[in-house]
Amino acid sequence: MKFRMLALVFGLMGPQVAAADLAVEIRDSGGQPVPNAVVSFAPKFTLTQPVPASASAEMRQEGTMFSPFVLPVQVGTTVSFPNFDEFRHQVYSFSKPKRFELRLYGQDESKTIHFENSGVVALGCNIHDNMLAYIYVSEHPIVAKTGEDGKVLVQSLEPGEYDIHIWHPDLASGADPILKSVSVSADGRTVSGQINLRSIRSIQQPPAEDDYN
Amino acid sequence: MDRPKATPLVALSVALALCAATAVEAEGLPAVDFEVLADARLSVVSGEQSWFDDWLGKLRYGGDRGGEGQGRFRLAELSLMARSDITWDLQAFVHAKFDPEQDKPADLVEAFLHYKPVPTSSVQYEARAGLLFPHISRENIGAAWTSPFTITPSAINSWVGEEIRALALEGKATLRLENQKLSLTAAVFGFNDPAGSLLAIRGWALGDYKTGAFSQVPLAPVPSIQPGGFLEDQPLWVHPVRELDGRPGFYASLDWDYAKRVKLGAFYYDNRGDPETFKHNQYAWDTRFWNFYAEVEAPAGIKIMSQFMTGNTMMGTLYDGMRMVDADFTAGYVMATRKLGPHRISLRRDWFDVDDNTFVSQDNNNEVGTAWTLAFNAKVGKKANLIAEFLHVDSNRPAREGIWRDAEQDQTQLQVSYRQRF
Repeated sequence: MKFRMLALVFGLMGPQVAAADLAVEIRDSGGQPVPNAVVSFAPKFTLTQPVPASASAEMRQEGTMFSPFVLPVQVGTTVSFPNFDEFRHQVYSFSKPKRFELRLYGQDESKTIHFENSGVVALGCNIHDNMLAYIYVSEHPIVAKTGEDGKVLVQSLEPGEYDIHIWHPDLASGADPILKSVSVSADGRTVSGQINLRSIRSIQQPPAEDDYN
Repeated sequence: MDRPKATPLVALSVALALCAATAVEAEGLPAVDFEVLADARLSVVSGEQSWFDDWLGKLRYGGDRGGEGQGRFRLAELSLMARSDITWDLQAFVHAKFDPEQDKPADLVEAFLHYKPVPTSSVQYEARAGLLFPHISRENIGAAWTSPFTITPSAINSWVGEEIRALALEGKATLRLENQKLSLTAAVFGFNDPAGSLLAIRGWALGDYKTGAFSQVPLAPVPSIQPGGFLEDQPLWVHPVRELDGRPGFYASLDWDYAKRVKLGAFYYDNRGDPETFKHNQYAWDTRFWNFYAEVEAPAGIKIMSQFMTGNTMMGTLYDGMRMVDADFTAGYVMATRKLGPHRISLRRDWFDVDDNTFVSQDNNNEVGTAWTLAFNAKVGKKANLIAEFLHVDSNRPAREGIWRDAEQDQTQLQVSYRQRF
């Protein structure tokens, strides 16, 4: 089964002439909102004001789950991994952009990992098989993620043309949907795109209630 | 009665505990984690006496000698589990248990080391070594090898709890693809030579009793194993966890998981017992079987689970090219289960069968039976469950005529179990 993803990009009147807020909405072919979709903006012009890079981000271990399920970051970001559980987690990834293993002994312990290469980093816990999350490391200066309603508001964009890259954990392999040359201006416009998602969605299930071993 | 020699297993479990305790301090890892499971059980049951009372009843509890129904309130189980992280990749696990049916005050259910390093590619490797349950049961996934679905496991997994245990060296490789998981497991093992005795001489049963490694379980005094009987060397008990013939056995399995919606697996076990070995008052039984399972997430939150087991067991010398005991065994179940908030309801149908291939006139081990089980598991506390279960079993076993009962028997059992974990 193929799902269509419809991306609607509205350019809205910004608070200043030089910047615009952009609402992005992503839905599938059934009209259902698609949460956890990463939208990253590649400007086709030289930004006159540098975008402040988010130097840090957080991937929590809480209730035997990772949170958030999808974390978009820019290249060069240091992500902290705080453990809110009373027990150990052994977080790992063997994804190409970053291979690592983190040993988190107990509650309130936090360790960090620096992500210097772009790409998708799938996370697992060697102790808790149900745990699953993704860190999307983008080479673009602006990244955002849709909420449960499939929407995200990107604020204070510099007017101009952007390629908008969309990523989701359930993208059919090989697909890399891009909304090409989207013009962001003060008077706004609508852009739609179509991508294929796998019929079986990756989800992070809550832990089994009483695992024996 | 010849008591088993426990030395190797005791040594193993003590060594596990010691190396766990010492290594832990060095690494600063959490010390040994203990967990206790207590199961208080109210049961009302009709029909014949239980096989634990040296009879041929199919359930853990039974009626009285006259076949009158009985009510009981008992501690069904007190299990102690200890886990220790020796290193981040190596864990020790020990499960010891007390219950009234067990012939030792406390006994060991499992004691093994589990090595599971972090995967560095889409194939993950892990290994277990020690006394363990091979992963046959799809039901016994709860604390202390209990089932969260019912109080009483299916006939297949009741037997696994009674007679299958391996002192094993087990390796497993798991390939993870985008939405699929494929696992290959293989093991060599010893200390399970008498496995098969209960299926032949007693037949299938339905109960949540797990035999400890040093414990014996009783056999009904059917004429064939009485003095002067066809199998008179066989005592009126079995000690399933024993090495008798010095020949290692093996098991292997292939498991497939598709997006946690469909799970399929095949398992093969061969204890490579030498059926002519008789030591410590026990025969080595040559027992081989297949176990297949399928689990499907069906609509409306219902999960369908099913297992099918088929195999053969042989024991004794050859007469005219026939073993003294040569029996084919087959059993299956289909269970529908659904979560209701934190609670769970499960309905299961069991079928079981033993086909005796030799000397049926002297020693008839044929059997056929079915059972219905309906259970409601209520979560009544963070670590407390109250489970109510109805079970009805019908079976035909001609060997009952040897102990002056009708071959055809049925039993109805109501149980309430209060399981508390600490």
